[in-house]
Parts: sequence; structure tokens; C-alpha cells
Amino acid sequence: MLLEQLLTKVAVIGAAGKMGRGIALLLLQQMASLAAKTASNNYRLYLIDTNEIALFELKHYFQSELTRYAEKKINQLRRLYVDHPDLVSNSEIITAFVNNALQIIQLSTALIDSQHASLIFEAIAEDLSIKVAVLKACREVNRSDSYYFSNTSAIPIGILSHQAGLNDRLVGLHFYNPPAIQKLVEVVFLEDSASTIRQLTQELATLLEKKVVFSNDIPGFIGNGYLIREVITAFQMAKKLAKNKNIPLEQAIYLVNVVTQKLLIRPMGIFQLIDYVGIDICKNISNIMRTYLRDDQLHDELLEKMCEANRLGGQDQDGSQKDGFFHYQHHEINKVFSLQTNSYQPVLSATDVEAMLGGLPSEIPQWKMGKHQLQPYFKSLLQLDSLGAVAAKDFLFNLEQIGNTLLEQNVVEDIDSFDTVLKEGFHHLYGVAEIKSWIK
Amino acid sequence: MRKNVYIGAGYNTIFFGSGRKEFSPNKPMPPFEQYLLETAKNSCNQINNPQIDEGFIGSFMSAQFIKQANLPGFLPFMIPSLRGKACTGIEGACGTGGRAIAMGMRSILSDVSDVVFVSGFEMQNTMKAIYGADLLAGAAYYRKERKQGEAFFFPGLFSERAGAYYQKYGYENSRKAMAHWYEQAIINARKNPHAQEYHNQSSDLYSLGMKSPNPENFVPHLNPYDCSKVSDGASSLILMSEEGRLRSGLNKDQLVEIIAFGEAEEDITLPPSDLLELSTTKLAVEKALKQANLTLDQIGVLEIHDCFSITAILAFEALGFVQKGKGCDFILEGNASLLGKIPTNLSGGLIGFGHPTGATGVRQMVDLWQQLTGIAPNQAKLRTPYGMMVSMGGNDKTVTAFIVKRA
Repeated sequence: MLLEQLLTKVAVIGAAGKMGRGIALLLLQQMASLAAKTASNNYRLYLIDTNEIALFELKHYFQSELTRYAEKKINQLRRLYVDHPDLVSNSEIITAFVNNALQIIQLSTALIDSQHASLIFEAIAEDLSIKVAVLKACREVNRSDSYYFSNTSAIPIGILSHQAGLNDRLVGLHFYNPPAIQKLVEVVFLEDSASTIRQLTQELATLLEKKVVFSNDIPGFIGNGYLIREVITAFQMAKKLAKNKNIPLEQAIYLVNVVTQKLLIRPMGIFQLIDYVGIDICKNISNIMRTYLRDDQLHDELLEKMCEANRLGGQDQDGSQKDGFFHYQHHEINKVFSLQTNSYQPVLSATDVEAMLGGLPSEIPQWKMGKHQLQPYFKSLLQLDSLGAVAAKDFLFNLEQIGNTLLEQNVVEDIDSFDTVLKEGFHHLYGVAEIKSWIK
Repeated sequence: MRKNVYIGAGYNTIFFGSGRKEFSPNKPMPPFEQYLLETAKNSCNQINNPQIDEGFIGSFMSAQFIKQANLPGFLPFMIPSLRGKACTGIEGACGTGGRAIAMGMRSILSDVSDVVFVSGFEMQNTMKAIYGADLLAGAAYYRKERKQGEAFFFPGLFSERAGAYYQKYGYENSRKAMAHWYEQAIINARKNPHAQEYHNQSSDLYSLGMKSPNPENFVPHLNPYDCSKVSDGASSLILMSEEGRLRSGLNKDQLVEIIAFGEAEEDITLPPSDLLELSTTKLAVEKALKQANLTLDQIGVLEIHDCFSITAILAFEALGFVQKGKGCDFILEGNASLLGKIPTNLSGGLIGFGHPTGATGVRQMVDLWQQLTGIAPNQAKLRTPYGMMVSMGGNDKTVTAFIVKRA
């Protein structure tokens, strides 16, 4: 297999970042398994980042994550190490695997240390000029037959490839956050992507146990093509709600979050999702999409204002949620940020929320219970005209429209791909196909 | 036997681990000292002015699980009046409890002691099960067997037995019996507040038991529901001679008498001669029945060592309740249920109550004592005054069978 040969020397640029280290971990798991299988010490994973401190903390991260991985895969590892008479207990085998894996890593702040890599993964900031500069620099020091994978979630691969001089050697391989856990990857081939790199990408996705959805090379691809559009809708709805109901904007934001989580049966509401992704990241992505799609609708000043107020969301290194639109306590929303007072305010009480949302179906399914009871619930919801029901309906119709837009703009070949991203990437319980059946 | 040996008191702590609603691997857990003190205090409180002559404490792998050896030193900690007296540690893998009781009996039978405290405990939640599996593999011939064994070593050994059983007698019926055994274990455990599975609210236990084994994640022929749990816990009981009984001020209606015991050890370096038979168990039970001068149909209540559901099937065959290959039907017909011909493992057994390896044998005897004196949480209506238990260590290597009678 071509991939197995090329996997001996791999580089991850931006390895100390949230996505970079997750991608690095996935690669390291496989490289370590191959090294054990072939009894080879020829494997090298070059982890490159400008943040030296974060880079050197990676070893602790990999140690604990690799141990967990090895514990899960112990049956497989026992077979891999069957010819090592000194490795008898699970403990000895896991320790050997982890130690051998850590030996594969080489940390560096210098791009030149990627020069021997056959496969180079880029996972740096969502900024065209920075990505181009880095990829160009890699190309200049690296082998001419290396292949490149960009984790960009919005920048057109064709533009990146052209400006970095990579021609057909760059593919978009967008992992979802966190890469080690999320099953979905978005793959973006260029029209002139050679069959070799296409095959390599497929093999890689299989090896990393990922589900692939193909996107055409349109800014935002499928995931952000959906997310940014729904975020804009959420902002507009919150502003309208604040004006019509004469409530502070932040409380309207909280209400819209409740609608999108509770009434649309999702794992988190739209504003909590923005916090999760990172408000600054959403802002960057919306700017990219607005620029390259030449669509001023793909932007809202709220993103700018939140960034100026330094309420950025995102996660800490340990995965805990940072404050953004909401302040979190023990993973629960505790307060909502007021731009007016530049402080966090208590959220509406459950009673007030209930009163404002109005009449709703008597039984509202919970997301964690799965698809059970969704159809009767939504059919009932769609017949109501309370504030909550109407808001939920608007989001459902909007979601259907987003799917149509992505089809019309040729981002996706079919609506199934869009639904796959919603379900596998965003963990929605339903997609446009189901919504259409409820509306009928 | 040359003199009476009674059980006058006994106590099982909660058997703690996953399944209990208060359990979380990330929260601090009760230390072993707490279990030891609790079981000792509650056993001794059942006797007026207990005067204990000697103590036994059993544990399989405390030296590894909690880095604690020299366990006899904990007996005076548990019962201060044991300071300055004979205290002994016992180990026989999962059959430790049975060996500890047998040793206690020997002290009484040889006139060395009149009142003997027997305890067993284990703390297995000190590490993840994947690492605990290595320690538990010490119940087999580690140096020769571990390397080739499954990641989960003991489930792997009994998976091999299950695979052989499926091949000879068919998978479907076997799987149904194993699912039924699991279901019954949990139903019984739900009746005992100290059982590890007491809080189990699963609505379709049988379906869980019917899940196909997943060799990639576990072992080839067993699913996780076929297996006893990883547990922390302690059990104890007080043995006494007739003189000890009088000294302790106990009436006979509070007691059971151990009227027979059969002990059998097999060479640990040898593989089982027949994967489809628990031959050492069979031998131990035959000895006990012979000593008691009883037949199986005179046994009214049973405690078997169901470390795995396949072990339960094989046990019924080895004990002689049914012929080989018919253990599944025996279980499926409800013979081992509360209302069945031979009510078995009425507090859930190893699968339902839990299996802190050093404690289990003692726990089984405490359960029998409670059943025969009418104080069990899941009390059966017993058709005879006799009960039997089998305590097994390793892959049918270290076996002690006891027959008890309402005194």
C-alpha cells in the first residue's frame, strides 16, 4: 500500500494547536502501530510549531492519549507484540507501545525540519497569507514528491495550492473538532488532483477510521457553509426578538440558544456552538467566505463586537470551554454576555423562558435519547404558533434553504452529503431529508 | 466430623464497583481498612461478649492491588482482642474464602480453638480492569500461560471453555442459558442492598445477555454480561464449636452447622484435562456429599462460583444435578431460580453480587447461613434444611465444597 510506505516520514505544521495536535495524535497512533508491526525504527513524525512551550507540552498530552488508545486496542497490541517474549502483561505491552510511539516524535520550531516528510499536514491559523507563506516555505525545503493536506475549513484549496505553488499536490482534508474523537472529515479535491493523491487520501481516511464526505472547492465547504449561514440567521433572529419583545439583546441571544438546543433537539444551541468553535474563528471564517463568495450577507457585526470585547470562546488546553457569549460553570451555561454593560448577566429564569416561548408540545424529546419520537414531536411543533414554535420553524426552514443553497452553489453534489455533515459533524439527529418529510 | 462446627454470625459489606450508583472511578473510594472494620464489627456485634480465639484473613492479591502484605497483622486491627493470638493469612486465588473457612474449621476440629473469626476481602478498583487482569492472571500458571492469553486473561480462559461447549452442544441454546443466568443474577441482586448490581435498572436484561461476543474488543466466546464484576468488598463469619456456642450465648436457631467439606487441589501447571468438565469441583463435591452422607436432591439451597456464566452451566453438570451437556436446559427450565428445584445464588452470585476475589467464598457461606436461618434479603422457601456451596480458585484448581445444615 502506497500510504504505508509514505507514512514513515510525516510532518504536522501547527502541531501544538488544538487541531494540529489532534491530527498528530491520529497519525502517531497509526505510525506507532505500523512500527510495531514491522519492527522498524524508521518512522518519524515531525511536529512543528512556533509555540515552543506548547510544543514541548505535547509529550505529556501524547503520553496520556496514547495510553488510552493502547488500552482500548490492547487485543490488537497483544497480537502485534506476540513475538516479544519480554512483553507479557498488558501493562508491559502498553508501556512498550507508548514509549516506542514517543520515540517517533521529533519536535521543532523550524519548518526546515519537515524536509524529509513525504506527507505534510498543515493545521495553522485560518489565514490565507500565513498558510500560503508556510506551505510555500515547506515546498521550498521539501522533497518534490511530497503530498500536502490542509486542514482549512473555509479557504479554497485551489487558491492555496496556486499561491503556494503546490499545483496538484495539495488536498483539503478538514477534520472536525476534536480530530481524535470526531469521525467526519471533509475532503476537497481539485479538478486536477492526480489519482495518486486521491487514492492516498481515501486510504488515509480509512486508516484513521474516518467517514469521508466530499465537498467541492467552494469557500466554507459544507460544514462552514452551513454553520456561518445559520449563525447569521441566529444573530438576525436575536436582534429581531430583542426589538419586538423589548428585552436586552443578550437575553434574546439566550432565548435563541434555548430554541435551537431544546426545541430543535440538538446537543447544543447555536450560540453555545459558536462559543465551542471560537468566536474569533467564526469571524475569520465568515470574512473568508464573504470575501471569496462576494456575499456581504455572510457577516454580522456581532462577531466583530464580541472579538473587540475579547470574548472569544474556544477551549483551554485541557478541553474546558472558555467564556464567549456565555459564561460556563461545570460545563453549564451560567450567564450571558452583555455588550452594553461589558459584563456577564444572569440568564432568564426557566419560568421566564417558558413564558416567553409560549405553547409547545407537551413532550419534548431529549437529544441524548436519539431519534425516538422526533416525527410526532416535530409534526406537533410545526402546527403551533407560539413564539418558540415559530422560531423553531424558522430555523428548520432556514436549514432546508441552506441545504438548497449549498446544492445550487455546487458545494455538495447531493443533499445526502449535507445531511451527513449535519449528523456526523454536528451531531444533529436529523437532516433536510427528515425536515422535508415533516413539513409535507 | 469429630465435632460440631457452627456458624454463628456473618456479615457481607457492600461489594463496590461499577454498577453501584455511588461508584465513580474519578472519585475517592472507601479504603480497605473501612471494609475490614465494617465486616468485623458487624459480625462480632451479632454475638454477646465475643471471645475470639483465633483469626483468619483471606485475600488473593492485596500485595499487588493495594501493595499490602502481612495481612494477619490486620486481624488485631479488626478485632482488638486478637492481639497476642494466632492470626493467619490465607490465599487460594478466587477460592481463598473457601480455604480460609476450611482452615478455620481445622482449628476447631483439632481442638485448638472454640471461636474462630474468618474473613476475606479484596480491593480491585485500585486500577483499571485492563491492568487488574494481569494481576488476576496470577491465579493461573502465569509464567507459562500469560503471554499467550487474552488481554482479559481469565475471561479468556473461560471463553475457551465456552467455545468448546458451543462446539459440542450448540451455540444458540448455550447463549440463551447464559443470558438467562445473567438475568437471574441481576434479578436476585436487586433484592440485596449490598449487591454490586443492586441499582441495576436495565429493563431488558435478557437482551443484554444475548449480545454476541466481540473478539476484537473482549474475548472470543463471552460478552461482558457473562462475567463477574471487578469489586471491592469484605466478608466475615464466626465459626464455633459447641463450647464456643455456649460461651457466645447463642441459641441453635441462629446457627447453621457445617456438616461436611470436600477439598480438592489440581496441579496448576497442567491444562484442564477436559474443557467441558470442572473435574476438581466434581471431586470436591463428591467428597463433601460422601462425608455428609447425603444425595444432591437433599440439598435445598446452593451457592456456586459463577465467575462466568459458562462456569455456572459447567458447575451444575459437575455437581451432578444434570448430565454433561444438559446444564443449559437445567438453567433455562428455571431450576436454579428462587422458586426452582434448587434455588441458587440468591443474592446474585459473583455476577450479580460482585466478586472481590478474597471475599467471595466467605460471602457465599454468609449467604447460606442467612438462607438457612431465615434472615436472607431474598429468602427462599427451603424444602430441606441443607445447603451447599462451592468455592473455586483459578481454572478449577483450588476447590472447597461445604455442606451446611440448619442447626
